[in-house]
Amino acid sequence: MSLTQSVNLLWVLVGAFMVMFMQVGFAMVETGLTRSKNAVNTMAMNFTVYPVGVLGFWLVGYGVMMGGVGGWPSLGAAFPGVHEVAITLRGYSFGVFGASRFALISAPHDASNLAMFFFSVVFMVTSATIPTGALAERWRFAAFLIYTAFVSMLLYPLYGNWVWGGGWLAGLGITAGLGHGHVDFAGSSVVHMTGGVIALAGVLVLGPRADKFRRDGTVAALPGHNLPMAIVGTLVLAFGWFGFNAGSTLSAADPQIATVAVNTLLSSSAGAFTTLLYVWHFEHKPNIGMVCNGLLGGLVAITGPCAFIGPAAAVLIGVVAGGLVPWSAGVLERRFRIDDPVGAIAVHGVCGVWGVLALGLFADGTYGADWNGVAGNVRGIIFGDPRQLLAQTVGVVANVALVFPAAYFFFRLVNRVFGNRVSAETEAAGLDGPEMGAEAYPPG
Amino acid sequence: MRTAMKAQSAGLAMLLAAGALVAHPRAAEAKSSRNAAVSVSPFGGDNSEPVRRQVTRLMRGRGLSVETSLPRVDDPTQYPSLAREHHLAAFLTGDVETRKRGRAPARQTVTFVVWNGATGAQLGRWSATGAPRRLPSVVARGFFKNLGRAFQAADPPPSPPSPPSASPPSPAPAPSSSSPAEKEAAPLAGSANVNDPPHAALSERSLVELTNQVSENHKLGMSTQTALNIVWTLLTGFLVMFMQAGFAMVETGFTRAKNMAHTMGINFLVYSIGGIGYWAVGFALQMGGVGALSTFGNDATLSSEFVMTLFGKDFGLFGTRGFFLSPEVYTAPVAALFLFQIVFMDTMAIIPTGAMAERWRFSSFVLFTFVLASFTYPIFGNWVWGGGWLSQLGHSFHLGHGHVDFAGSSVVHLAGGVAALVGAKLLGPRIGKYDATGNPRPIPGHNMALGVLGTFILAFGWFGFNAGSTLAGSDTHIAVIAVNTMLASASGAFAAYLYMKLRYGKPELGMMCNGMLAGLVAITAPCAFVTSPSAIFIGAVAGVLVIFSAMYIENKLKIDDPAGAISVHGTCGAWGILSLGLLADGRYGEGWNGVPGTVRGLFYGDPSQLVASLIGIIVCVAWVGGVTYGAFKLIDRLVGNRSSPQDEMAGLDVPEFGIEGYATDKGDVPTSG
Repeated sequence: MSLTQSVNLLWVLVGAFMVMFMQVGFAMVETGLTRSKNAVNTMAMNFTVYPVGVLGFWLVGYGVMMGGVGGWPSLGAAFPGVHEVAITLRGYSFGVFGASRFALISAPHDASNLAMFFFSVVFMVTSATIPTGALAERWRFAAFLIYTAFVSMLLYPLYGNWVWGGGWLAGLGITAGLGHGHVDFAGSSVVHMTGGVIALAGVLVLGPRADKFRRDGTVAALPGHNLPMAIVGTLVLAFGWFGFNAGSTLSAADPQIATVAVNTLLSSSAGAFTTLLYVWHFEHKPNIGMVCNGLLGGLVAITGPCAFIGPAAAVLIGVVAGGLVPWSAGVLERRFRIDDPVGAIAVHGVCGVWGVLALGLFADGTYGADWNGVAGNVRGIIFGDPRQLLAQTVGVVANVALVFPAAYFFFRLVNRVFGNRVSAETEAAGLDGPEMGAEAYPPG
Repeated sequence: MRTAMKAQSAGLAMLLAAGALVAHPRAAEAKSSRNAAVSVSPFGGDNSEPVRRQVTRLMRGRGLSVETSLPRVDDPTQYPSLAREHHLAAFLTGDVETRKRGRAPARQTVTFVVWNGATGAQLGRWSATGAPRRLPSVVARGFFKNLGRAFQAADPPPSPPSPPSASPPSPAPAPSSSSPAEKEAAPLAGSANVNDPPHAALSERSLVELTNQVSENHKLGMSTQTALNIVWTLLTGFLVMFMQAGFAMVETGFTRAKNMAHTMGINFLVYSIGGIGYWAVGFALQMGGVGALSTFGNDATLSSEFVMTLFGKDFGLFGTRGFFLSPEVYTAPVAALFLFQIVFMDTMAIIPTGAMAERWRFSSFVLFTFVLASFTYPIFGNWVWGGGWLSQLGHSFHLGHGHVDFAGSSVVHLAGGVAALVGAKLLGPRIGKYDATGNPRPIPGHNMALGVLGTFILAFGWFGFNAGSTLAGSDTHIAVIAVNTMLASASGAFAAYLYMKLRYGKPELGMMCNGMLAGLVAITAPCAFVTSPSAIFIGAVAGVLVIFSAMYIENKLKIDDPAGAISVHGTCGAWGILSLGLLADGRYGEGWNGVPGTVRGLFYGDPSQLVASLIGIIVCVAWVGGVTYGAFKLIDRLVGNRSSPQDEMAGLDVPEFGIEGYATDKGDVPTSG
């Protein structure tokens, strides 16, 4: 292994450690923004998603997602024994899912595979933890565990394969001539939009919390019980996000890591600042919980395009995301009566869509040579390639078409067999005692 | 941080030269092993610099090594001798022609010619036309498409004799395998040597190594050392960014629950507001004239400083390149530097929030932070780190190495402390802090656990702050810096504990936290230049100094500083700068700020270094204090600095933010219909 590959491995692993640390951020944000009577339950979901998700992804998920990838040149030599299940249409092959390296049995000591497994699994955990925020304060813990297994083994890896594992969305550039195929640098669609769409499906099946929408038509605010926790958690997420985005080059020797990191920084700042102005103007108070979500919205949106754009576009993407978050959260809550305690659908779902489309708009043709096997750099519609925007749109539609029905029917099935929702008495008393047998803040 | 550092990348300089873009890997290897560059001399015509910069960037982006220091030579017959002398593969010349017809917008045409270094023959020619502002991007689109083949065809000059091999001379009778002969024969290009067993073993091994190295560099276009330095700078920058969480926890833990959301909100938003202001204006003012970044492959994009000449000496005042990080300056090295600098600015801008907590109007905070991030901080930062006049004091007035501040005791901490002092003085104490007779009353914080955890996050992030300031993971001094940082923080906390225990009989947890932070602040400037006993000493002095200072400010000056920010960052920041002038031991800092020799303090033989440090402190206090005073007064006129007494009594969370920090579970607050 050459020195450069060693440095690259180090970079990917340190990046993965930072992404793993984002679990702390998610746990703090979600718990801080919900009520103290459910604190143990909310924390426990964020915590358990990590061990259960890692095992599920190890057993099945990694093979489905990355089983068709021959190797990562920046991390090590190509790896034999790959298999991608594909459908052949009109002479082109459309990859559907990978089928090798299940449980890492065929790659026990291959550094590049193990590093990629680590990097992929923490991304998956990020995606799987998103719906726990939207479904907090009413979800049965056992149903949540089944959900984690489902997402980590099948749902996330399937879409992940389509985009990052050599599947058909990545191949759209070759098979259909759509730009470079669906391009998602670090996961606006694969990670965040997937999580947001699952959250939406889950909320539709589970329904709102008992005291959220009153008979007289008013909406209760149900404020979170510990705002410092939520704010520190947001900063932890913003820290880990540098690993998320800059690590996704899979190469420390790629000078683009600096650009990626700065774009991430700028977009998050612009997102928070825009949300601040938005809520200050419309609600007359700088609602700091929403401003946290604005920062996260800017981060989610920049995740897809971060390597392909300049700083001005990064600020613009953050500004739009910072406006989208409070607007869509308000619309979802008041118009559609969707109860999302922490705003996960607005932050991850809506801004995830925006991030993927923004790549199709603003990619400036300075990066991404031979991305997905298509010659030349990645360009958006403004820089001369309208087909890239089309590929991005196909990716968004495919995500909704795959993830929403799958998650919806999964939740319905669990409802029928088992039950997703705690009883009304449990919900009123708080989930901590009845579900978890522990109190977060025992008196004395 | 380092404006003048030894060019240390020479050893591992770009392996890959002219061959990087070649389609045939074999040919590429043969040429790349010679490490030859392409000379890009200044172009002819008006406004040609942007195009030249663009071309240089493009070529470096493709892994070519580019030589920009040679003057233009128009006689091609001189090229072969120049090529041998400077080890060049090719010459690129360019001429820009500007046309303006009547009222139509001006058009520029640039004509490039690629000349072969070995023969002086013309290899390729290409012209591009566009509006003056668009020309660099037009060039970017077509440059390699049209001239790639020309570079490919360039012949590198004969390689200079290789240095003697480090391995012991082999007794095997293989006289023809000496390195110069091997390279002249270009064994990599063909299979001729395979027939000859001793050569085959040698050349095949080197072929494999070289192929790996070249193909990687080909893909990556950057030397491994530069890559390592950028990785180091980014990772440490992320650590510094995480200090925002530490500040938020410390300040909120040391203030009251009724102002929790307000204190947190302020700490949170510094990152965002400061980031936008620094991106738009601040970075260019601070770093726009910093010159070549020696640890990042000598990227010289930021090289425009506004200089005033007085008494025949140059005084650099502010940089003028990099506003809004426009595309032509957005190279990877600049982006890495920007990320590292912006998180430092965030740290500085967050310091005053601790001193002004629990009574500061939020809109005043927003405006104030904008001024700090886009003007106050960057100007002083330019003077010290951006090649400005304080860093040139050694060069122009023979005062040591000029004002030396390794990682920011003055630029970040003293500046933040001075802004905090001025702000807290103008804002006045919190209601209830002083009784009718003017005696201070303690107002304890609401969550010590939060404060202690935050202190530890800060101490963790500080390793990035100090050790990252080398901007080079390849500078092994990072280990010394990290250890000095750790020792000073430990001795600071311990000294604070001892002092409180001996003086008042009880250790005080909040003061221990502040003692640790004080040690960290003080070691920030001298961390690279002192021995480990000095680091312990600096930390211990800071740990006691912070207590004296806090009591003096509270009891004598009657300034109310809830989190102790003025003492921790201001007082100990000044001590850190002084300690460098006293204790720098002359083992590090060769050529710092362009002055030959290493950095020495008073006790190691250079009293003039102490004078430079003193000047740095005085200028910092005068500049930051003056600008902050003016800005704060002005903002008071515009929006009012202080929240109303009723809001302050009730707690700022609900009146200013509309939410409670720790909401109860009632859930009966209707928001809308």
